Amino acid sequence: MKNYKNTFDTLMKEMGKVVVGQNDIIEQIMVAILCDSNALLEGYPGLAKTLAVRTISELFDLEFSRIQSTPDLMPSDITGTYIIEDNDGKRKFKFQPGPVFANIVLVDEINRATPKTQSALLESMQEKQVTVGSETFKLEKPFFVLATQNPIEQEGTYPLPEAQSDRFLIKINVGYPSIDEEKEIVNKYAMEKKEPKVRKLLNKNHIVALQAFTRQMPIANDLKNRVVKVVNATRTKKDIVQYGASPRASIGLIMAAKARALIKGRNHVKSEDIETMAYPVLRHRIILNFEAERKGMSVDDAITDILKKTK
Amino acid sequence: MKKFVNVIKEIDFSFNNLILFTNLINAILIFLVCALVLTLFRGNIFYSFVPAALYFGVSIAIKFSRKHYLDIEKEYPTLNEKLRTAVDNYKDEENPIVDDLKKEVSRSLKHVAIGTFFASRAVSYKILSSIIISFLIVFLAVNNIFIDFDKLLEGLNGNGNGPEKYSYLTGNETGDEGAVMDVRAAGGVASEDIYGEQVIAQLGREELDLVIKPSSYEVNLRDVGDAERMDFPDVFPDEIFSSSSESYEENIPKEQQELVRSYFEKITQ
Repeated sequence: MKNYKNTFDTLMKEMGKVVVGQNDIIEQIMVAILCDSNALLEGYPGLAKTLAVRTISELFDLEFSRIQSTPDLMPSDITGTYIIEDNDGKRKFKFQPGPVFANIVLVDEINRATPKTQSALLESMQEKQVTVGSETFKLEKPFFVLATQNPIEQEGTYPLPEAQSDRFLIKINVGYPSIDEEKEIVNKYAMEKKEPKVRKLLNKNHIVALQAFTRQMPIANDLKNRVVKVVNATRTKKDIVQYGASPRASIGLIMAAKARALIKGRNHVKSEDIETMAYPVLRHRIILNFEAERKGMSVDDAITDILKKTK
Repeated sequence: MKKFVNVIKEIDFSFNNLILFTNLINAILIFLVCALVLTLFRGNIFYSFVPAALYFGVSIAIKFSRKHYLDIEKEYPTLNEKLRTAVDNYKDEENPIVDDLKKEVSRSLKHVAIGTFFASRAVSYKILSSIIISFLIVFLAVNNIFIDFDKLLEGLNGNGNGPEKYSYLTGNETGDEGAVMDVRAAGGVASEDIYGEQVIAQLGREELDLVIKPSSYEVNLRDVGDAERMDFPDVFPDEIFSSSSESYEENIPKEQQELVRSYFEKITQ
């Protein structure tokens, strides 16, 4: 298990060359990757969301593509489309794969794309396949979508529908760096001439093996029961929650806790893994009711409350 | 290295033995406390087996079904959540992570002393209490000390003379105390007047200081000794006197007197 911890420590160290601070965010992105799932990063502009995702893609020897979402982005711009190919005078349709045919897909400012385009991502995110016309194309493993969105400038945006946000295993809130971290950022990017570079550490096979290893991480029955209780409480706690999380959240929370345990180099899941991962796993799956909002309660406050009551 | 399943069995076995012992002590204590209460209220001591057996059965059933490894985790924080994970997943033989966990837990369990879970001080107190209660029961039984529950209830209900009606016997009563002996308490017989009216205990006009010792049918070991020699003073009252009885003589003719005399002499013979 120590080898795995060393691997992740090296990954974090390499990330640190480019992204200052934000260790929790990087760890949570890693969790999403290990769980063979998707992550949604939300934060104000200029907080290195895109940079973090791009740097992770550079650390892995994987195919990376980026989609900049705009209101006029069409589904076929993502999935790909059939084009007419002229071959010795014979014309035939040939499928031209879109940017979704990669291992890591960065969908920048996903909430600027129209619901139609956002929905085009649904199948690839959940089923790991793309259907164009009558044909279905399997996406190569590993495949994960890392999307970003801004909580401000909501005009002209299309908030993700519940069904789609549920497809993201975790929603990461990207916060501002500390004073010291910001000083370091300034020194790194405003003073140094060379742009920091990272080396590739893991390839496709490594990641697929790590994903398989994550599934094998043992978890005690007590902790599994607690996860189910926590997720169930989001549905039954009607005094603050209007809509709670689905059973998919239970699966997601257990997987996320397993992945975190692996990153920490442990051979078992601890309750602190569950408590830490409950926030990113549940925060986009819970809708607070009017009463909770009136009290100025945030979704994270509601999760804290639920975690306390299910201890 | 021992198979992990054997490690789990060993933990269960040790904990079950410990539970069995401590629950047995507790059950004995419950039995003795109940026996003490029953002795005080003249109940059948064998009824004490019921709560003791009930406690023993129920607590054993509950404690045996409990997960013992949680107690180990509580006492040894390094094993926290590790041991239960290993126990819950021990059947997974082909998982390298579980295998690693099992080896780590087995190594850590070598440092676990089962004596840590034995509350020696509490058990010592319980044993000491049992001994004290046992002596108390023997003392009460030997001295025939008990509480009359019916009298106590009567007293509480305000019947009779209140608390004075509540009486207890020490077994050493001589009758000189002037206390009203409680017939039911003494003999355990429902009727109070089997010894008759007190007026009978009068000789002429003088009231005799005579009390029928109600507990006389029970042997009080403390009172057993040589028979007391009593001197009875002449206490007969004046109005009681003795006189010779008068014989009745019939007018029998002289010649037949001899015949009658010989008749009675023959009867006497």
